[in-house]
Amino acid sequence: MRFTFATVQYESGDWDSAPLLAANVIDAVARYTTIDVAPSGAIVPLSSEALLRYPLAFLTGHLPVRFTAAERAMLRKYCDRGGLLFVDDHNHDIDGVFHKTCTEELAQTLGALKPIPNTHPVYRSFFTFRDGPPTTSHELNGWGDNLVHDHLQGIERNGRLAVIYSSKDYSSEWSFHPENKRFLSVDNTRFGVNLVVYALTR
Amino acid sequence: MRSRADTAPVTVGTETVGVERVLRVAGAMLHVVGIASMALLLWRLLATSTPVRVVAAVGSNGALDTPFPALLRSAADTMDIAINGVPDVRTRAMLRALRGSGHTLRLSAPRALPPLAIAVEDEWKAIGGSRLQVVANDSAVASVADDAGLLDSMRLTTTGAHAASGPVQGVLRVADAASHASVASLRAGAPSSARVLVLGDATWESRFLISALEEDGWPVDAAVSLSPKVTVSQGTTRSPSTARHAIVVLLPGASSSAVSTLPQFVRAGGGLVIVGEAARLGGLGALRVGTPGATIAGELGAEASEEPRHGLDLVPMMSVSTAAVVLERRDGMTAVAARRLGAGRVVQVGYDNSWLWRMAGDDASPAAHRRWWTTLLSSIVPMRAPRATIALDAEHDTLDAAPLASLVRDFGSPVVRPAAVIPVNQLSIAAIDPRWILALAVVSLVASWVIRRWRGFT
Repeated sequence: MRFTFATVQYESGDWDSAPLLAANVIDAVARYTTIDVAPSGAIVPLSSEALLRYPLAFLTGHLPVRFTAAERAMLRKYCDRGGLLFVDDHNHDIDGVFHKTCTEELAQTLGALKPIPNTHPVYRSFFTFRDGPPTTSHELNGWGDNLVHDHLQGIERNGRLAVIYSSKDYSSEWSFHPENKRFLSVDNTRFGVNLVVYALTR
Repeated sequence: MRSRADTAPVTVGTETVGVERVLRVAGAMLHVVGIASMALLLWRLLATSTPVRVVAAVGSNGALDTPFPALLRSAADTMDIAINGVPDVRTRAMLRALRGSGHTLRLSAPRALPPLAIAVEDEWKAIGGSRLQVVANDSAVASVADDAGLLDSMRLTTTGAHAASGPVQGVLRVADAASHASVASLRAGAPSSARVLVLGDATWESRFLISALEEDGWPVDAAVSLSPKVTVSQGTTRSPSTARHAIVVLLPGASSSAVSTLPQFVRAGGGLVIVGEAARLGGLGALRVGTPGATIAGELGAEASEEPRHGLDLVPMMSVSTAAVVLERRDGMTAVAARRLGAGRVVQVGYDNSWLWRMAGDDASPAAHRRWWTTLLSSIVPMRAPRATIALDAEHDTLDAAPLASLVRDFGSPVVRPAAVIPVNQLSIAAIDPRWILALAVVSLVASWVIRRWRGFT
């Protein structure tokens, strides 16, 4: 069965705020690896049993997040079975509403987030990122806040990383048409490959 | 003629009234004892069967209720032993010793004794374990325990039951939880180790299969390919060798160089598992158990059904080798088959994407998925000599795998006593000689009569 990049659809907020991200990550995986990847992504409701068919799923948004009881139950089951949820704050703002509400929801459902050390295997699973998670243009310039997040955060279930939480705003960084990669000196979606490879091999 | 009133004292004092009351009570009690003795005597005389005079009984705990030295000193040539529970290995040894000392033993039981027998074999799990086969004749629940405590419970059936356990410490026991009629034990082997090498592409199947095996205690090395130049390795992933690995699991995408070493690995005694589409890899040749047919998609959602493997894609084996054993079929097609090759074994698994069973199945599916793979791999681990020493000779019966069978072998089947027969050492009143009962009845009634007469005269 091919690897399919799945975006999580949840009841509250704007789950579809980064529509081009999936295509960009798929492009990167196909470009750098021989992983058999589906050419288009899937959109999966968080409360649906179908989520269990996608062991790596991506969740993003700008707006407040409030999971329903069914969404919480499925998320718990998903992580217990071995799924990995990658959550990215599209606001890149630790004081933003997405960050506050989403981290609350995750803590209530799965436990508290903890910083992932920058020596973690996810930073070496394919490309090597010696300084930890790659910074994004939105952190460095963009909104004039120079708010750089040194670490990603994570939640472990059964001794495995079940949630990776990012405040880096990869949702903005990777949400462009893959054709435009040729204008970049360094492909900024390479960390997406690491996430996929880590999920497939950890 | 003098009337009774003429002889009675004229005055009646307090002392006389007290004596009168004592005599009345004593007379009544003696009367009751006499009547009861007569009734007991009558019952003994009318009883249809003769009580069995047993000298000892085996209790439900399997032990004798009489000290062994006392039995040895007994002058009786013939000893009746009441068997109320299946004798344990120590008690059976005592009975054999009694017989060896010149006594004739007659065994009787109040009912047919419940048979219980177990067989234990080591299971090739990396963390060590045992597989139990238990046979009994009813639906009782038996407990499984070792020296460290209770391990499991199991429902016994006439068709047998089986259970598996983790590492066993010391002696393994199965006992009928209701009656504790039987205890069987066997010393299980020490934990073993069998290293697995997983080869293939980086897929959900490789990721979840490695997880499942590791969770079940298998030490796993792996080489999963990500690109022509990048392979993610775990542990020792040099070419397969029986010196390093017991089993190779071959997934789709394994390199041709690794595949080319597999025939030698299997012929030297290694185990090989060919999974799904990997059967189409070039270079496998004679290693295949069957020719892979066209892939059949799994039934959507069946992972959570009673037959979870119906939800998996299937690469059926179309022409299975004549030397192969079919282990599993789906819809009439061969799904899993095994064969020997040289000193090794090959299992071809037609199922692809078994990870869906673990992820999308019901609540029990993660454990069932692990169990299925562990059982499959256990069946092809290179075998060595059994580590459990079995000694079942009659004189040195160190194991107690089938206590009732051992008893019958040594002494024959105990005679089932009719309900009317009373083992006299269990009911003390029945052990009293009838002549003593008669004497008691006569003495009691005569004494009662004398007291009444005496009371009349005073």
